[in-house]
This record gives sequence, C-alpha cells and structure tokens, in this order.
Amino acid sequence: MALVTLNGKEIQVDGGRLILDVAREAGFEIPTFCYHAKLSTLASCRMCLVEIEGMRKLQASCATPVMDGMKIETESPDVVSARASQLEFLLINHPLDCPVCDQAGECDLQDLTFKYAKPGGRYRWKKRTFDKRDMGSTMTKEINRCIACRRCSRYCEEVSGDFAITELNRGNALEMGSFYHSPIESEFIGNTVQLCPVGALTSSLFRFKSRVWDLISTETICPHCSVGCSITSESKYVSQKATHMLQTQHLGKTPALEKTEVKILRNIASDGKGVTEISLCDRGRYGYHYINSDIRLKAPMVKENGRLVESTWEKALSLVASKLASIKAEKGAESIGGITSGICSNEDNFIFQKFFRNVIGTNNIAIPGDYSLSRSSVLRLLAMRGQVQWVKTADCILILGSSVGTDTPIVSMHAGMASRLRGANLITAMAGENRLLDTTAQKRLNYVKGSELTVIGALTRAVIDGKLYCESFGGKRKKELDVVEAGLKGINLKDLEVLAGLAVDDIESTARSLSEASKGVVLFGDDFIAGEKSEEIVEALYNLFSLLGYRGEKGQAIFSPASGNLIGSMDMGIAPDYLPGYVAVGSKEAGKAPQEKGLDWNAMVPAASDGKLQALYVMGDDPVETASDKDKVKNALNKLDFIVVQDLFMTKTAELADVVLPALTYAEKSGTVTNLEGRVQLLDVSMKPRVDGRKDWQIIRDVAQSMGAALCFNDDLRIVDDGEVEVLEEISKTVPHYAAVTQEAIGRDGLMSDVSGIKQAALKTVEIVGHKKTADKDYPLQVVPGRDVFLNGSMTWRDEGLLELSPGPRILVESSDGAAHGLSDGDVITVETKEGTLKGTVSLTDRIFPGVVVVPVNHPELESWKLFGGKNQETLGRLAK
Amino acid sequence: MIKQFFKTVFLVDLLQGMALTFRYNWTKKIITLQYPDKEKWVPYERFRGLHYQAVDEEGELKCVACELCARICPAGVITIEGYEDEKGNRRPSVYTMDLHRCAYCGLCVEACPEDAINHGAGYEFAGFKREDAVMTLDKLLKNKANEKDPEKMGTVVSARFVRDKDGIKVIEDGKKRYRWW
Ligand code: SF4
Ligand code: SF4
Ligand code: SF4
Ligand code: SF4
Ligand code: FES
Repeated sequence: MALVTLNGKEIQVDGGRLILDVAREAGFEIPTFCYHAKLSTLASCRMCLVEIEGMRKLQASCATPVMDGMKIETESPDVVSARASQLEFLLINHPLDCPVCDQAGECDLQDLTFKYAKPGGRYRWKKRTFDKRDMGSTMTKEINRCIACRRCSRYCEEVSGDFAITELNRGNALEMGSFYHSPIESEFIGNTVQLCPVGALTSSLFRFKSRVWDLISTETICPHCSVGCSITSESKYVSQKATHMLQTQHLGKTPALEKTEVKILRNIASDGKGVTEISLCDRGRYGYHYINSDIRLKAPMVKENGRLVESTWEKALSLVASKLASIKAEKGAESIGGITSGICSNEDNFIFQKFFRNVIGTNNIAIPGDYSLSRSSVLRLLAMRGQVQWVKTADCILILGSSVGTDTPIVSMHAGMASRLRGANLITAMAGENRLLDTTAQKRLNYVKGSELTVIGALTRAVIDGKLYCESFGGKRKKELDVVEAGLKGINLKDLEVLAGLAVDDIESTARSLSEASKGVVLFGDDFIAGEKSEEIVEALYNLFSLLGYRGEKGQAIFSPASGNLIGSMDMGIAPDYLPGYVAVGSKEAGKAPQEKGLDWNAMVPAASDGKLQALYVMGDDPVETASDKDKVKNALNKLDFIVVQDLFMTKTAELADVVLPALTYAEKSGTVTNLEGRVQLLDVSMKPRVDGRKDWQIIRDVAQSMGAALCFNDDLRIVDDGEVEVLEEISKTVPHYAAVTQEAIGRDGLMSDVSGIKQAALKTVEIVGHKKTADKDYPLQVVPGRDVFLNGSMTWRDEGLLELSPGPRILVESSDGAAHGLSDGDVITVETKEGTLKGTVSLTDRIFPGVVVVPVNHPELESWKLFGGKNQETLGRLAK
Repeated sequence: MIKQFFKTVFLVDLLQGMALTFRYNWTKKIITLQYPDKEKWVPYERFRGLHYQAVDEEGELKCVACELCARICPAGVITIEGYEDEKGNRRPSVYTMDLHRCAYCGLCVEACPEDAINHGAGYEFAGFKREDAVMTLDKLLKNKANEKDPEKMGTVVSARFVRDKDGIKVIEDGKKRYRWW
C-alpha cells in the first residue's frame, strides 16, 4: 500500500500501480494518446505529464508507478502549459482536416485540442506530407494525420502478432505502414482503425459514409462464430432515392416526402464487454453488409405452377399449416423432418423443437453439418466448454485442427498472444493451414487428414506409457484407466511414424507438456471432429482430457465450432435423441414428448430419397449448398412432397421449396445466443426490419397457430409480438442449466450457463486402430479441405464487404512444392484426385506442411467437395498445370 | 349621440379616410413596389434568402459533406450523405434542405468551413407542391447568389411578369433601376 497525495487529496492505493490509473480512478482526468490499457507502455506522446513533488521534470503518468509519499499535481500551471505545448507540437504536422476526416467527433486529438490547447500555433513552415494509400481492401491510410502514438504497430506486434502495420523510416519521415507497402492480409487489421486515436487509419468500407454523431449505436453479439464477441452495431437512416429527411427521422417524425431506409454502417468492438477485450476479427467487424443487402427475401413466397411467386403471410402460413397437417394425418408425424442452423437464436431453436415435438409429434430434428453427434457425445462436449479467459493465461496450449484459426480467429489470436507475450508453450497439430504460423514460435505436428482419431490415440498412449495421467488414475481410478487403455491395443507409438506420419518424439513431448502444464488448454474445432468417426473422436478426446485432468482443475478443453449458436442449439435440444437440457428421448423426465428417437440429418437424406420422409421444414439452413455431397442432397430433397424454408436469402435449398418465408437477421431481432463457453448473451435490435419478415420463432409460432395449436406463453393462444422475454422465461423453466437466465441477469457481459449439474457417464473404451497413411506414386500430395477466414456460411457469401475482404477461392500450395512444380502466385492449376478435378488459382504459402495442398471448401463458387468424394478423409492428389 | 348617429349614417369617417387616400393618389409620388408586374427588389449582399451551394473556380462543388451545417441547424433542415468521388475527395451524394422548416437563421452558413452553403438572393419559391420547397443538390447549385455590386444591391429594378407552361416568373430586364427611398 502507498499513501499518495493527488492534487492535495490523500489516497491509499496499491503501490506499483500507474499514476494514470490511480488518478483516473480518483476522478482526475489526465489526457492520453499513446497509452492503452491493453497494450504495452510506450510513453511517447507526453500528453499525460504530471508534476511530482521533488522531481525536476514533469513525469509521464502512464509509465510512472505510484510510490509511498508521492505528491502529485495533475492540473498545476506547468502541467497545463506542457499539455498545450504538446498539442501545439502535434498540430505542427497534423492537417486541419476535421471536416473531411472520418474520425472527427470521436477523435482524441480534436477533443483534447478543444479542451487543452491554446488558440493558434507558431509553426509557419511546410508540413510533412505523405501520399494517401489503400492498405488492402478495408483500410485507407491518411498518414498525414498520424501522431505517431504507435498504437497500431503495438497492436500488430502484441495482440494480432502479424506485424501487418509497423514503423517505416524514422524521425520526420516516420510512416506507419506495411512492409514494402504491400496490401495487408490480416484478419485483425480492422482493430487498428478503432485503436487509432486520430483519423490516420480509416475503414474503406465506412469511409465518408456518415459522421459518427449521426450513428445510432446498439450493443449486440456478433453472429459469425461461436466466440460471440460483443459488438456495437451502428446504423443510420439513409436515402433510398436522392433525397430524404434524415433529420426529420431523428426528430421522431416520419419522413414526409421520400422513403428512407436504415442501414448498418459499421460494427465496432464493445471494449471490455463479455468475451471482448479490444479485438474483433474482420469477419465480425465488416460482416454486416448482408443485412443491408437488396437480395434479401422481402416477402413470403409460394410455389405456383413450379415457380415461386410472392404471396402474403396469411396465404403462406395457412398453406404450410394445412399441408403439414395433411401430411401428418396421412403419412404420420415421422414423415416430417425439421432442420435448423447453428445461427438461429436460442428462442428460435427452442420454439422450433417445441413445435416439432408438441405439434407435429416427432423427434426428427437436426442440424446438418460435417458431423452428427448422439446425445452421449454431446454430453461429452459439455465437459469441453472452457473459457476464452483461460486461453489468455494458459502456459501450455495445444490446438487441434486448422479450423480453430479459420473459424474462431479470436480464440486462436489469444493462443498466439499467450505464447508471444508470456512464453506459453504453443503446440499445433494441423493437417491444413496454420494461421498462427507466421507469428509465433510453436511446435508443429503434422497429421494426415482422416487420422484425427489416431492422433488422440497416440497422445493417450503416450500419456499412459509415460504415466503422465493424474495421480488418481494410478490408484483409485486404475480401473477407468484400464477401460481407456483397452481401446488402445492397436496403437503402438513406434509404428505411428510410418503409419500416420506422426513423429514419436513430438507426440511424447506434447503429452509431457500437457501433463506438466500448470494451466493447460486444448482447442479443437469443427474440422477435427468432422467425418464419420466424430463420435469416437469426441469420446477419445474426453478420455484423454479426463486422464490429463483437463476438466477444469488444471486444464481445460475448448470446443470452438464455426456456427455462432451451435452450443445454444444443442442446449435447446435440437437433436433427434434429446430434449432441451439434454434430457434423453424416451426417458422418464421426457414427459409428453414423443418417445421414439428421430432421424438425424444423415438419416433424413436417405429417408427422403426412399419416400419415408415426406416433408422438410428448414429454418435458416442451406444443406443443398453446404453439403459435401450436394447432388445427393438435392436429389433427395427433390423427392419430397413439401418443403418449407425460412431464411434471409433465396438459397439453393429455398429454390427447391414450396413455401419460402422471410426471416430477420440478428440485427433486427432480440433474443439470446450461447457462445462456446456456454455464456448466454443478449442480441439487441439494432434496426427496424428492412423487409416484411418475422423472427424465426415467430414464424413457427404463427404456423402452429394456423394449425390450431398454441406454442408458448403457458399455452394460451395469445399472440404476443415481442415475446422473447416470455420464451426465455419458458426456456429457463425447462432447461435446468438456464435456470438463472433472464434478460436482466445476462446484461451486456452475458451469463455463464451452469452445466455442472449434468452428470457424465463413466469413461468408455474407444477402439482405435492406427490410421494407415495411404501412398500412391501417381498422387503424391495430400489434399486437405480448408476454409476461408472471411467466409463461413450463407450470410457471409452474400456480404459485399466480406467478399471484398476474402482473398477469393485460392488453392494453397506449400512454397517448396510450388517451386518444384514451377508455380507462382496467381497461376491457375488443376488439382486432381481419384474422385475428381478442380481448377483454381494458386497461392503459395508457408503456412502448410510440404506435400499438402489445401482447397477451400467454403467458397460456393468452388465445387471443391468433388475432390473429396463427399467425405472428410485422407485424400491423395496431384497438381497439373 | 345624435351627432354620432349622423356621422355613421353619412359615412363621414370613411369619406375622410378616402379623401386622404385620393389626395395621396394624385398629389404624391407612388412608393409601392410594383412587384411582380413591373418591378422587383434586389436584396442586399447579406440578405438571408434562398440557400445555394457554391462551386470553386473549376466548377467543382466546394462542399465536403462534413455535415457541420446539418449538425448546427436548429430546425433539422439539412440532410447529407457523403461519398468518395473519383478523385478521392469527400463530396455529398445527397444534400437536401427541407426549407419548410428553415428559419433563415444563417447558422449553417456560419458553420460551413468551406464556404459552400450560402444564403442567396432568392425569395421567390412559393410553390404548389411541398416538393417545391425541398431543395436538392441540383436545385441548390442553380440557385442565385446575392448581388455583390454596391450599385445594384438594395435597388428596385424594372421587371416583367411572365406566365407560361413552366409556371410564373418575374424576369428582371434591368432597364430602370432606382433606390426605393
Ligand atoms: S484525426 Fe481528429 S483532429 Fe485530425 S482531422 Fe481527423 S478529426 Fe480532426
Ligand atoms: S496510424 Fe494512428 S494508431 Fe498508428 S501511430 Fe499513427 S496515430 Fe497512432
Ligand atoms: S438558415 Fe438556420 S434553420 Fe435554415 S437551414 Fe440554415 S441553420 Fe437551418
Ligand atoms: S455545406 Fe459546408 S458545412 Fe455543410 S456539409 Fe458542405 S462543407 Fe460541410
Ligand atoms: S499517454 Fe503517457 S506518454 Fe502517451
């Protein structure tokens, strides 16, 4: 403790804290530019100078810790005049650009000049000038305005770790920019725009579109991945034609003459809220254009004479209701299936499953995807809901699979940060692209796509052989250890090198690091558990983590899927074999719900083909586009008698539908979503609906009402328009681990759902046979499905901003392989596998292992699934010019 | 009482008044402005009339869509949307003034850092439709600036009243010009 006197006021504070923090806490304002709580100290701008008794010069409060007995003045005449002089210095080179500068209105320099500077400057000579430059597709640099605070370069060094922006030249010629002025390729670069205290780094997508004071801000949650970052969506009324009355709108009147529409103009990070510190990835930051898009569905559509034509809600709803009722009556409830997506909110998903279980009377509900898990595996995933916070402080991090980096960039960024800033031991095991590679020292394990189970088996083997498991497994829980080991008979570490291309040393040292870590974390995403073996992989992961004690005490495992609310939809019981709260179908607690297990997506497709399934209700998903075997799915859907799709766009699936109902985006509705940690977070309405759409759950409720059934609100037939609160109430009553969830309790930081009450079954034996690496002289390369960071689903594919950001469908070839084939960036090549061929543009990279070619599978224009024969497995291929 | 009665019956007050009127009519100079039939008034340089958007020597818009005018306007008259033009300059794609609300206070002109929005000489914009008083950017560019010539401003100038298919106009012919007083 230290006793300091701040402007004559005595206060007790912890010694070692910064004067700046202490003073601000005590209510004394100290202006700063270069200081940022989440970045390292630079102390270069000298705005924060304070006077300390006994020190000859003024001291930078952002770099000076308090000491006992210090007497500090923050408003003494010297300090005041130093501030004014400092501002005069900064304004020597700063152009008087405010009228055209996007930062004006939220500019630190402008505000502080207004507050502290003396009028007029004494500098009479030429200002230093630079050219304006585009930096990649999202940033425009107006570097004349730069005040050299180096927040941007510190961010790129410390947080994103990609060194995208750095200091070029020195002294008067100092210019912030990328090496050789090359276009920036970084998924975090948008953050520097927000960090820059002046308008030196501006967003090209927001550029000149609006003044910041015109924007209406709403705090909500980013829908683009399961991290669920807190964002502030900022919207504005803009004209549809050349004239409109923005101001009339702001005064609360409806525009008299011309039509206006509201558009989201930018997203910014809500610093310090929920999981967000200061960073968003650019997918979240710039992925709002689809909301404003004109290609959204505007009104319900009904198929007439083979063509979809616009219709009214009444007509469309009654058609859906009567058709579903008649199919149910004739063919039985089991002939109706429903699929939803991991994007829809908890409310949507809850009402969806309730509709299927209570009104239709079937458990045929699922989420299509690269994997489908049964209840027991999903329960295992519950134990793998670590916290993002944990990654930041871990000392050993293992990342399994590439999709952690491409699908949930923020989690991967934190892993890189932990390794860079705190020296955490970072180990990556990836078959495809490694987005952390350029930036961070790490141990890299290469595995062959399709050998994920073997990787886990090998790690488990190494843990058992090296006795690296928790102590209790040596004693009390020896039996459980034996259960796990029973499945590993086929795994012999010595053989693995030959079979799966895994180095024994690497596996052993990884196992040792994980076991020795005092705070370990393992991250894995969609691509690691995808494929036919997903159940086994999840179970084997659970076994491994149990042995290592990675169940909260010394380590955590984090499952980080791509879909924003996949975890929430699991909680809401979107599955054929369990109800909300993971209650097993057919069990005592299941109550009135149908007793028979339903079909999952993999079973629905064949059922549709052979006529067992007659109708499909699709909420927000596009299986025809996203399926690995598009033709099969399309043919199956074509056989169906009746398809209803509710979505934002005319998707490939919607084209096949009999009724298409327009839904609303996350920006137009409220509700809750659950992130990968199990944190329940609140969506807020950023804008009034742009189309005549309804919220997904409202549509389902209206269908149910047309069928004469009530769905929510204590089952009376009341129509409530904004009933999220009531739905959430019902959710918290039904789902035990959401019991504490209310909109107030969630707030802007979210509320952790408590899954500790859900019991895990005992460890099970998972039979693991070592994967055998296939070899073929004619096909020397491993072809691995990869993902584009910026595009991950039907919303992003229709987002002008993200399409601009995306490097486009590129085939990644390792540099030395490229050299061997005589390739250079931008060449067009053909990738050939036994299953098919694909033409595309090459991009050479060091982010993959030699002998690997990565083909993006989430570009709709690239029919890349053909290469893999519709399966997620080891695929051999070759390149041809 | 009776006097009052006779005064009322024989319209004495009225006749007295009319006498004055007729006296002025025939004996004094006419000071009524013959607007719109024959004459028209030219406002002073600082007259706060119908706004116009100024252009620079190259004929390019001066406005940089900074929205300061829109911000300061107490009546919420101005609506602006910016965009980046081909030269990389910030310009308005939309600049609309709903003059129904305008108080002609001049704050927008005062706030403009580029001398782009100005009060002009126009005062003839009565219309039949509400849109007539909504000034879009093209209209604002066509509107006239105030007269700067000290010889001309504040004078009454001879004019002609025209009614044709485009509506009604009062066209100055400049043949005669005199100070109103
Ligand atoms: S950075 Fe700030 S001070 Fe500089 S021109 Fe922009 S608004 Fe004005
Ligand atoms: S570009 Fe912005 S953030 Fe970077 S040093 Fe300059 S002022 Fe600071
Ligand atoms: S003159 Fe006054 S009321 Fe009229 S537009 Fe300008 S600021 Fe607004
Ligand atoms: S008229 Fe002047 S104040 Fe208004 S937006 Fe244009 S430049 Fe800015
Ligand atoms: S904030 Fe302290 S020197 Fe910049």
